[in-house]
Amino acid sequence: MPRGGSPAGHPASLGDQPKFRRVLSAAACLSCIAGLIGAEPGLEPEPFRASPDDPLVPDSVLTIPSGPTLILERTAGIPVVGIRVSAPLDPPWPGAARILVEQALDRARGRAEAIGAELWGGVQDGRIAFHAIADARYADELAWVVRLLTAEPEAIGAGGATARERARLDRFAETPRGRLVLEMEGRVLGGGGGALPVPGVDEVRDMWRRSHARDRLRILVLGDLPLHWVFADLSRIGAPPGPQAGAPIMPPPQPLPFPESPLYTWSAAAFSLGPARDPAVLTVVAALRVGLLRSEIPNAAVNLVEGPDDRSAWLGVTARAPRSRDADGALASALALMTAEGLDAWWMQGAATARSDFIAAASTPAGWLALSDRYHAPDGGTNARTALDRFTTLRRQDLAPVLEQFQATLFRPGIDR
Amino acid sequence: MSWRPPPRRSRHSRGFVHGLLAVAATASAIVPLQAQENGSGPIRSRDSPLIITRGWLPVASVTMAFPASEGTHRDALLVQAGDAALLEAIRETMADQPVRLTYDSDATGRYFVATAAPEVVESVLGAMRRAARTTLPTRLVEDAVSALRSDLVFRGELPRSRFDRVMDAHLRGEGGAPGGGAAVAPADSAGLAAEITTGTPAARWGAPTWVVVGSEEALAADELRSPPLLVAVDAPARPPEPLLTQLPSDAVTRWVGSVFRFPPRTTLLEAFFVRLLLEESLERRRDPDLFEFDTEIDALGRLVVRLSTSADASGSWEIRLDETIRRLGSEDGGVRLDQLLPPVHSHWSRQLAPAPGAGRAAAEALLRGATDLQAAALTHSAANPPTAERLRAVARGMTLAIRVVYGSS
Repeated sequence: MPRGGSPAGHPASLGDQPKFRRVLSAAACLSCIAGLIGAEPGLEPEPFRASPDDPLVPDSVLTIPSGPTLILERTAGIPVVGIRVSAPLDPPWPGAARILVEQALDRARGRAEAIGAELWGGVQDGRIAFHAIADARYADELAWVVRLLTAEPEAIGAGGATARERARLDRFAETPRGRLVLEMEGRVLGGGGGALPVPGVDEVRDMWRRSHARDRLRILVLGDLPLHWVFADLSRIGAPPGPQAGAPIMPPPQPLPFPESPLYTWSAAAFSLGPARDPAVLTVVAALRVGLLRSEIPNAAVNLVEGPDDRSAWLGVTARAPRSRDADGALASALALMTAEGLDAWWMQGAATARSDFIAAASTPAGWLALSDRYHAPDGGTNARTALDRFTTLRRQDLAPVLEQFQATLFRPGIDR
Repeated sequence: MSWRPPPRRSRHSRGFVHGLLAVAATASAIVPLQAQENGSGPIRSRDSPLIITRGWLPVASVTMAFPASEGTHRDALLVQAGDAALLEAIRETMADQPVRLTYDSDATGRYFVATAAPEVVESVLGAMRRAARTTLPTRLVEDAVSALRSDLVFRGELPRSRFDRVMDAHLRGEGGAPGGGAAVAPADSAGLAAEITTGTPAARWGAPTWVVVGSEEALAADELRSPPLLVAVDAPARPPEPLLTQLPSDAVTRWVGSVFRFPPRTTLLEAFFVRLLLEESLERRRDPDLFEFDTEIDALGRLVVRLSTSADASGSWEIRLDETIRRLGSEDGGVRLDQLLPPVHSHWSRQLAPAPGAGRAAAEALLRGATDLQAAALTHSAANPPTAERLRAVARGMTLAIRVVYGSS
């Protein structure tokens, strides 16, 4: 049981008088705020789940009817304020999300630079995400930066972001390794081989209306800010709430032209290892990296390729060699790391690496926001602490389902012929 | 609406942190820029860590710091190879631990920073301590020296490397000496490995400085003492350096190194802020002729600025640099400072927010001679930065001490 809290599923004890008073006063305060912003009254305090002294567990999680989910960590211990906003990838079209993100960053960059805010946007864990972090005294300006990030994309200025996305696709299509990424994106997200096309302005705007609908947004705030500030400044960002009319626009993948590779032959494989937030999956990914780095595979160059960021940990492996049999042999050696024997050799180093990655990420405000977003579950069942605990207690036998997932999803796309 | 109330830190811990912040805010203004000759003595043994507390600590950090090399180019190479081997030795020791180890160096020190879960900090500290007190494995030292030798062969005589050696010689006060910027030939590096393995890192470089950014309970209340008054100390006596040294080169890049002295009684925090203001200002005035620039505050508390520009832009960026500092110090630069300060505040706050950043800042302050409280205060200084007026006064009092130009005049 977390320190200072009641077990999940049990209401806060009346004997815990100070905490009970906080619940009531906070609920009353929220009733007033909810009335002001047009949300439905009738707040029901959820039982305590968070541990008050655990920085890996957010202080509060608020779900506003027709509004965003607010995840707050109020602390006087750090000199910055960090805000992260994330939205579901709907439709699952990474190209549209990239253009949406580029336009948002272009809009917000000037204001962010004026206060020295760290600004980031991208697709992470199957969600479109942004963060902005600045000195605590500029919290109001930071909220304005976040509003700009989540505003509706305009047609003016879309040309640059669209051109950059088109150039990216062209560049990827030129190389076998890039083709593997596009093949994975098309197959995993678009339902077939080939590459998803570059979206137009209307398609990007359609994605914004769906993904940025207010009731689908998740807002994470780290800093010493009062609750009413968060409500006043952040609760009404994004698109109007509610389901959008019609099905999302999502064209099918298009066949890719084959690049010429006169000097080398390539062999490739792609596979999913399971949910990308699962510590067991992250451990196996790290073990594969370590294994590839330390193993000597002769006469070929072997590389790991990140798949689409759709939460399901898709990876690709490419092998390049002058002769096709060397390329095939190298790929087989690499995939041998994903057997029970291969994992026996590297899983402990993989586990240490994955835990170190987690620890290093949690040490920064941006990393804390990302981890809290990644491990947030609407029912409060998981958080960054439960994930770290899982990393710590992971055993070799816990990795067996990951290997099964690998075998079930493995495919061998042709990427140079 | 579902609602989980915001739990509070315990009253004791909040009060304690606020108390520390209050003291820290007072002390942060007077961290010395230069080493103190007197003031309060050390309140812990050199080999025990200074423990910095944070009100919010998802992850702890351990910093082990050695002073920067102030010797010749060969000494610098010894340090470079020795640090690489030490870093690898610590990594091997903690291979199965959830620890992230990073290395960084600047004009003041060399920093080995471990980021770890709070509950394993003690074992991490022990492992780093043991590594520093043990002779480095020959295998690791030979690997490090071999990598260094390749690096020397690759870029030992590049114009940039030559400029850096000359500049470093001037910073050491040996600019006018014959061979002040001479390189170590790759062949000479063979003796480095034998020299590095003759003793432990701690025996060679002295006991390291330790900082742990840890849990609140770790800092004993008796460590909070009244901060001593600032005592400004002049730099150690050295042969006078020429104000301007010009070295001809036919490279298409022109390098300029400038050393500025701060006025007396400048604090470390003020010096950091002036440096960041200068960086922000130069960044805003950047044009295609300016290739790159970096700034640092050296161990003697001087601001060192290195610029590389197109040879075609001969002289224009030195003039702009001097003018930028002059404008930072001028009264009519008030609007400019108002625009520059917010990004600088955010930069400083973001640097101190993570435990490893705070630990590194405290270690740097300790290497410069700060007391424990002053070093701890520096890590909380984002809440109480220097005023614009004070920063303007510091900039106004800055004077050019050395300028080295390598390239066409």
